[in-house]
Amino acid sequence: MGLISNRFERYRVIDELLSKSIKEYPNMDKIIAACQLKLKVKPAKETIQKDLARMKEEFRAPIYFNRFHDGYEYTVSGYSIDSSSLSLFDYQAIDEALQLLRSLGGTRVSEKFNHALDKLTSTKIESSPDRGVRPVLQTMNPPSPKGFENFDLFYNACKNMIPVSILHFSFSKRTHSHFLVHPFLVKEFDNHWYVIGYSESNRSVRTFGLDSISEPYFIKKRYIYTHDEIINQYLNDMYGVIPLPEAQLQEIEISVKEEGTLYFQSYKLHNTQEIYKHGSGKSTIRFNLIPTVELARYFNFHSRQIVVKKPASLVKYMKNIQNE
Amino acid sequence: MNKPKRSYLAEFTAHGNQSANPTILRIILSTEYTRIDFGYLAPWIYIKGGWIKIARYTYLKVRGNKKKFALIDAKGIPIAPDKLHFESKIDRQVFSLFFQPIPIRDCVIDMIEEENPTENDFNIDSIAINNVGEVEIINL
Repeated sequence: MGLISNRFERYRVIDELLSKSIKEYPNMDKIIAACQLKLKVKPAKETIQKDLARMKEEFRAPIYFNRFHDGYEYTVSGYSIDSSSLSLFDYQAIDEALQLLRSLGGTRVSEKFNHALDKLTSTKIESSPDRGVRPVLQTMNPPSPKGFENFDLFYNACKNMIPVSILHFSFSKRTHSHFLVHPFLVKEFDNHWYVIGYSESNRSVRTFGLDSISEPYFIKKRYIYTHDEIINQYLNDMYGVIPLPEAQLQEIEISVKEEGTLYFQSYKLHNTQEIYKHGSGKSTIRFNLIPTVELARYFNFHSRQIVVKKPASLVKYMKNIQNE
Repeated sequence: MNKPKRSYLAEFTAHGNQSANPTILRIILSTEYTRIDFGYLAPWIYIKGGWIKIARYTYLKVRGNKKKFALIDAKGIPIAPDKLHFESKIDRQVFSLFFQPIPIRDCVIDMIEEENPTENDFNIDSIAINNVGEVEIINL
């Protein structure tokens, strides 16, 4: 059991001792003994002192050391931390939510977000290098990709609609270029981060991998808006980030073998996915999507299980990448 | 009172003997320096992609102006005799050269690393700079 749970359990023991209708004025030794009896762990005196301080701070518990009785008491009759506006259950839920956020955070979101989390967790979660919390939840936490240091800049550019001057390297064409981009979306796909925006040079919306961008700077220029319809396509109608040339939102149909069918049943590729199972276990699966480079790659990677049937343009694209 | 620092993106076209490598990507004219950003691809002719460096005495010449605008800093490329050695033929490098500030106006410049250059020197002639002052950089 983690330290956080232990802390809340100690709170319960202390609260039980202090909220008795006939006051017992437990001193430090009695509190430690009660914790040891109920939790089977003997807490240190310093731990209980911290707990009492935190109970005062977090629950506004009216804890007072009564010198006459040489012990602690609640100065408000009938008080219990369970009666405070946030219950113990609430606090435990908040702490668990913080743990989850911490787990999802790491290198995957901005530094600003992580700093905010650090502040919260430093006040909410007890931690000790000697007795660290053993996590019961683990998410993928890959190392930061190249270019991720510019995440905050692009996030702010999208949020505040500021055009950006970038230096870009195309891995496929092996060329360096300069672009003036009017970004509207920072998107993660498959642990790669992209910025999507209107490119002045291309006179169209383009997707740039953060890992291929260097030296981005805000520029003072009128921001060119991208139509909501196009932004929504990038948000909702694509598996991936780079649409195939001239691709439109359309029905995509694939034929899938038995094992693949089970996989698609378990892991929906997209919200529009519809499976039509045949008696053999094979299936026809349809999506309503804009065909993308990433979708084609996905189908190609699973080509032993998947055959693309529609649209013809995607079938042709698949043949080309299979022949490369 | 000091003049506030201003930086502008300059439109440019490179003529003359500019080789494709390095490629000028961006020119920034500021009241404190003139910055030229380059992209460089390790050439296929070298086993491990070769190396790059820039001479300390590299300068800019503005046509119609006798002054030499000296190199004051470099980012992403070592000042000779130091070199950046590539590890393979697929390597690439973005680097920036900072020179004394040239006048913030349309002009034609030459970048000179060697007066009598070889094909390995980064001499670039006749870079026409246009529409200066139209696009300001905010967070440089």
